Amino acid sequence: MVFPVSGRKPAEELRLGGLFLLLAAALLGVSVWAFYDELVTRRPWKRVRQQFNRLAERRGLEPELVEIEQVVLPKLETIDRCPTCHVGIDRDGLDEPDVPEVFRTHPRRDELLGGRHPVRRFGCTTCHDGQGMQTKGVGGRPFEHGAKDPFWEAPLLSGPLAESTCASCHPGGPIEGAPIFNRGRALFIDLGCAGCHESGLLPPSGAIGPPLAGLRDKTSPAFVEAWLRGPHEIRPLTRMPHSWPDAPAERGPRGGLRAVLAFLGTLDGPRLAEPPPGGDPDRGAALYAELGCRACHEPLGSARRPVGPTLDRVGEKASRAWLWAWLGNPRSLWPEARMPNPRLTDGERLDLVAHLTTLRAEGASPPEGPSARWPEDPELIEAGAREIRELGCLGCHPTPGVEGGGRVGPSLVGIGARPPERFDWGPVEPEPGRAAWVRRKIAEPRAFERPERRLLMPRLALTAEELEALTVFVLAHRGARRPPAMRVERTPRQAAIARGEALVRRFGCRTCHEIGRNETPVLDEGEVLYVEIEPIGGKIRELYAEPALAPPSLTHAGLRLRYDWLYDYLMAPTPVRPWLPARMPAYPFGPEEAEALVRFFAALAEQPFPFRRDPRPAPSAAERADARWLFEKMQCEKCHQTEGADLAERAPDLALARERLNPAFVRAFLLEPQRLEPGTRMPTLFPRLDDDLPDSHTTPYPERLGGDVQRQVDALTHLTSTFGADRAGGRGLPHEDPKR
Amino acid sequence: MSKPIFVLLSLLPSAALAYETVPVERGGRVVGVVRLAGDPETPSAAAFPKDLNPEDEKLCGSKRPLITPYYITGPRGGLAHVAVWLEGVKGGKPREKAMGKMINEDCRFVPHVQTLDVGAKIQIENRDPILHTTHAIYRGRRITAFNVGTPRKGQKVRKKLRRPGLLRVQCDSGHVWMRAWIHAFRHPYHTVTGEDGRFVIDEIPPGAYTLRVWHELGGILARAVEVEPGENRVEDLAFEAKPLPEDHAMGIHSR
Repeated sequence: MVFPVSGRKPAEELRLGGLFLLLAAALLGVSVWAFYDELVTRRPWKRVRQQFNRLAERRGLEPELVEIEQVVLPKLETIDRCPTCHVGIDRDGLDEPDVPEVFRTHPRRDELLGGRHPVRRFGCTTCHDGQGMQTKGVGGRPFEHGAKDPFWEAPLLSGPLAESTCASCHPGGPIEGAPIFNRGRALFIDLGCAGCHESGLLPPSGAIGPPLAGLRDKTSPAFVEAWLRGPHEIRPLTRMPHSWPDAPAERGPRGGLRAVLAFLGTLDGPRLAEPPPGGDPDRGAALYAELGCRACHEPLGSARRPVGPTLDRVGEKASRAWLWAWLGNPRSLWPEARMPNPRLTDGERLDLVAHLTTLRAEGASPPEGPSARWPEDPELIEAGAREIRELGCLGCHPTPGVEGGGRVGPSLVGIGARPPERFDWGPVEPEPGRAAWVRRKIAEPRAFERPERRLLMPRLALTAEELEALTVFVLAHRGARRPPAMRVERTPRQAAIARGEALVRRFGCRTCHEIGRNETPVLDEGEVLYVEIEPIGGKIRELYAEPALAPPSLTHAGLRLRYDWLYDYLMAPTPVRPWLPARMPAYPFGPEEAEALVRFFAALAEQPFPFRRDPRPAPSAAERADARWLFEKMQCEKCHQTEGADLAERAPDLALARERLNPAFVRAFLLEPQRLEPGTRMPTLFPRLDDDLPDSHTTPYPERLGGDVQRQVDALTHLTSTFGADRAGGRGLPHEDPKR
Repeated sequence: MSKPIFVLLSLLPSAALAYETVPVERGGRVVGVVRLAGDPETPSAAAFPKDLNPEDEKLCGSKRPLITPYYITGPRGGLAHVAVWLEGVKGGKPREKAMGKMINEDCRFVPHVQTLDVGAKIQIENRDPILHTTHAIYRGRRITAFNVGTPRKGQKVRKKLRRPGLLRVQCDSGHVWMRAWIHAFRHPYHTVTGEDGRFVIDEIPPGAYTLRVWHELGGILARAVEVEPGENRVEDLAFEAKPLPEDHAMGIHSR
C-alpha cells in the first residue's frame, strides 16, 4: 500500500499546491515590481537618457550611454549630475524650439558657457544653485528641481535669478553679461537702499535726498503734506519712497505724518536772499528748452527713470527765492546735490525762475513761503523728531542739526544664502524659494507685518522689470561662498570703466552725451552694406535739428582730448562750442572724481594712461609752409577761427587745439571725421578714391608734399597745434614724456 | 511734414529688402502728372547769414536767387521736384545703379531732388571757386551718409549710397540756404517729375502696388495702383500749395 507523503487528502493537496503557486507568483510579481521601481521609476534619469537617445537617432546625433553623468568639482565642493538629463546643454544642433526643453542648448551658450564657464570646470550649480547630486524627488514628491520641495536648501535659480550668483566670483561692480544684475545694482545705488541696509556689495549711499531743513523758505506745509501722503501720485517715478503705505498716514510708530510735518517746520535752513524783481517767463521757457534741462528733468509721463525730478509742477512746490538760490548754486542749499551749476547769467537765471514758477497745475497756487502756518503742537513736534529717526528718513536725507538716523534696516549680508525657513512670512502663506519672499517684501514692504512686530520699510515706486532686477541684486548678497581662487579680479581698464560708469550714472552724463556705441554691420548678400550705429546715451539729440547741434559725443573723448585739458574742463568748463544751444553745466566734481572720469574716458577709448605725447618729429620749415598753404586752400578758416577770440560760430576755435586735442585724434579725424564723430559738420577733405577701399584716401591738392595724404595730414595736424601758443598753459594731470 | 511720416519713410525700404531681378514680361507703365493746387507764396529775398565770409557772399549772390524755389510749376500746374515710386514690387527689372550727381554751382545743389538705387554711386562736383560741403543726412534717425568737403573748383568725389531712405543734403560751410534731397531705394521703380509735373515708371510686373508721391513741403501721398500690361494712367495727383516755412530764407525748414 502506498501512503500519501503528507497524509493529506488529494483535494487538500491540490489546494495547498495552488496556494504555493499563487504565493510564488506574487513573490515574482513583487520582485519584478521592485526591480522595475528601482531601475525605472526611481531612476527617472534613465528614461530621460533613453528619450534623448531616441531624439539623437532622429537627428543623427551621437547617442549617450544610459548612465549618470556628473561633473565633480573638488575645489568648489560640488558634484553636479545635471548633465545626466540636460544632455544638450553644451552641444551643437539642439537649440531649436522643437527640442524638448530638458535637452535644449543653453540659451546663452556662446556668451556664458563657451570658453568662459565650460561645464566641465564650473558645473551647473555654481551659477544656478540647486542640489547638484539630486536626480529624483524625495519621499514620493516629484523632482521638479525642488520647486515644490521645502526641504531643498538651494532651490534652482532659473532665468534672470541665475544672475544673482555672478557676484560670488565677480565682485566689485557691473558684470559683463549680467544685465539684470547690473540694472538691480544701479537701482540699489540710485534708490539709496544702502542708506538703511548694510550691503557688503556696495558702500553706504550718502545723501541722495536733500537736507530736510529750510522747508519753510523753500515750500509750503500743504505741498509737503501732499508729498508725504503720496509721493508717487505727484511724481510716479520719484526715488522718494512712500513711508506710510497700506495704512493711514496717521499711524506711524511715533505719530505719523502730521508729526513729521510739524517737526520739519521747525528746521531752519540757509537764509535765502530775495531775488531781484522781473524775469520773462517766455524767454525762460525758451532757455529751458535750449539748455536741454529736460534731459535730466524728464516731463511727467516719461517712461525713463529721471536723473533729476520732474519739474512739471515745480511752481506749486518751490518758492521764487529758493529757485533763485538753487539755480545760482545748488550746492549752497544741498552740499551733495547732483544738480550741476547751470552757469547762467543773472538775467537768464531770473527768466528761468520766472518760467519755473509758472509750472503749476491749473488753479494751483505757488507756495506761500515763510508766512505759511505749520503745525505747532510741541508734543507733535517731539513725536515727529522720533518718527523721522525710526522711519530711517535720515538715511537718505542727512540733515545738519538733526542727530541720529543711520542704517535702520536689517543687514542684507548673506540674505541670498539664508536658509529658506528663516524668512518670516508673517501672516502670509509661505512660498518656496528666497526670491518669492524678497520680491514680495520689496513690492509690499508691510505684507509680513504681525501685530507684535511692526515693519517700517517704505514702498518704492518700481516697474515690474525694476522689481525683478532689484530682487536679483538683493539675492546676490550671498556672503563669501566661493573659494578665493575662484574670484575674478578686474583688469585696471575694467576697474577704470566701472568707476567711471558709476559717476556717469550718478551725474546723468548720458542724458546729454553719447558715451559708447553699439555697432552692428548690416549685410546684403554677405557683403557689409552699412554699419548700424546705436548710440549709448545722448537721447537729448532728438530735440535738436541735427546731431551736430546736440551736445557732443564722448565715445572718443579719451582719444580726442588731452587728459589735463579734460581734467581742467571737468573741474571748470570753458566754452568750446559756443554756438550750441545747450551749455555744459559745472559739475561739483572733486579732484578724485575728475581724474576717475579722465581715466574712464581713456579706458573707454582704449588709450594708455597717463597721456602719451606725440612721438612724431616736428615738421621742417618747408613742410610747415606747405601745411599753411593747404590750410588756406582748404579754407579751414571758413569754419575754424585761430585767434582764441571766443567768437567761434561753426567749429571749435583752433587756438584751443594745442592744449585740448591729442594729435593722434586730429590725424584720424582729418582722414575720417564721420567715423569718429558721426554727424559732424567737419567735412571729409581727403575722400577715398573708392568708397569700398578703406585706405584709398586722396588729396584735392596733389601738388604739395608730394601729394602724399599722410604727409599732408601730419603737417596739418602739426599746424593745428601751433595756434594760440601765447595762451596760458594747462594745469592738472601729469603726463608721460617719452624723452624722460 | 510731420515727424511720423519721416519715421514711416525710413522704415519703408526695409519692406523692399527681398527685391529680386526677374524677367518682366508684358510689363506695365505707370504714368501721370503731379500738379500743384492753389497759389504758392513767392519766397522773399534771403538775407545772408551774419557770419558768412564776404567773398562767399559776393559769389553766391551774384547770379541767381539765393534759394531754390520750393514750388516750380509748368503748364497747367504740373509740379517739378516730386519723387514718385512704387512700393511693394518684390521683383522685376534689374537695378540700374545709375550714378547720381550732386553739383555745387552758384551756391546751389543741382539736382534739387533725385532718386537712386542703394549701391549706386553719387558724384559730387564743385563748380564754385569756394569751399562747399555736401552733407547728406538721413531723415528720421538723422544719420549722416556722407559729408564731403570740396575746397577746389572742379573737384569731383564719388560716394556710395549704402542705406535706403530719404536724405537731406546741406552745405555746412555757412551756406545754410543750400538744400537738396535724395531718395535711395532697394528697387528700380522710382523717378522724379519733370518741370511739367510728368512722370513715367516702366517695365513693372503686373500686380497691385502702392504709388507714393513726395514733395518737400507737400509731404507724401499714397495711391493704390493695379498695374496691367501697357499704360496705366494715374489721375488726380495734386499737392495743395502750403505756406513757406517760417525760416525758409535760411533753407532750414521743417526740422
